[in-house]
Amino acid sequence: MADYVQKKRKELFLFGEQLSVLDVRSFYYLKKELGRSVRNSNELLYDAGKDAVQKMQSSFVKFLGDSARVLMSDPENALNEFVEVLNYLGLGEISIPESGLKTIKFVVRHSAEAQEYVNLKERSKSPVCYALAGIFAGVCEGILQNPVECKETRCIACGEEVCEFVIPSGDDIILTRGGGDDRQGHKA
Amino acid sequence: MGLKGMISIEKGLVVVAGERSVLIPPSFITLLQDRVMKEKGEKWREIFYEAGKKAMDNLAPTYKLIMLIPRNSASKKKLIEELVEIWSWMSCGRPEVTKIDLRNNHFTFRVYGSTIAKPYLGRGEMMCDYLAGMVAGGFGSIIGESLKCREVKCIANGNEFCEFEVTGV
Ligand SMILES: [Zn+2]
Repeated sequence: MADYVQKKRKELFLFGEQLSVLDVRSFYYLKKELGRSVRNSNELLYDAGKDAVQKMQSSFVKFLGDSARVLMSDPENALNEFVEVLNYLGLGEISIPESGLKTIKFVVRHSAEAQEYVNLKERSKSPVCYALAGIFAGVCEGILQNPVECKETRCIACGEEVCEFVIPSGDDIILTRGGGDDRQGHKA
Repeated sequence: MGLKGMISIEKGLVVVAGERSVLIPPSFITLLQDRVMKEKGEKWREIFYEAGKKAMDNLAPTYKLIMLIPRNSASKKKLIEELVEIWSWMSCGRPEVTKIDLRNNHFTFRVYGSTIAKPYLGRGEMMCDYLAGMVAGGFGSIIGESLKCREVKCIANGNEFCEFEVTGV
């Protein structure tokens, strides 16, 4: 599974598209600078995360062709598979403790987006992982083919043990079960 | 430093040059830049320059610790070259330092195939302000002085590579 990310000399690729490295401290300073200078920087990060993962999904389909299309037609499998891919991008340890008729929940341990707040002992009043929330919204939107919103409900930057993201919703969500801890060995 | 030491990709954790990192498509930065441009006009340059500079003001000093050179014999020139070697693992273009003049604090730095500029090919402008900030912060913290960095060539401007002039403030 780890070879989702391909190395060609010093360059990294995912599904044929280049990936760049952003260390978590640079990510933190970028977020701070945006927060200081633009309105709605949180929304901006959310949109950038969402856009990035949607582009990733389309290159996934282009790259794998028919097998990708088959996978995408099975929402639960597609979601698990994508979470597996995201787990190799350094964002944190991502799992789906429950998904069901009404909500999809993501739990991230050691969120890369919030880690520097913890390192610097900077306590935030509200969750800070906007890009991650956008990424999860983008993943689900691509799979469900329906607009969704994702909200971070717990965050390590606020002193919680993990970050938690919820996509509330509706009748449109038809995933039926979560994998919980047994996900570890999933297709590895 | 070999590939193994420089980059490690495991489930839940990516470490590059000793720093925990995320792997992002370059379009993540492009979208942020475009939206900031829309709201702030030319001021976007300053914002991204500052972000790059602050990151390296903080990072370069810790990179020094992981560089392989014994610290007692480490010359500033060697440290700059090592920093550029670390940057070459960021998968955002191939960096090269072409001039190191420590006496006059004058440096020239190039990036071939900047992933920050690539989406803007044909635009006719310099676009790598984030990289310029990184260079100013990175070189500055190695030599222990304030530096400024200006991009003078850019693939988005029709040049063959991106080139940066670094001088004292
Ligand atoms: Zn968080």
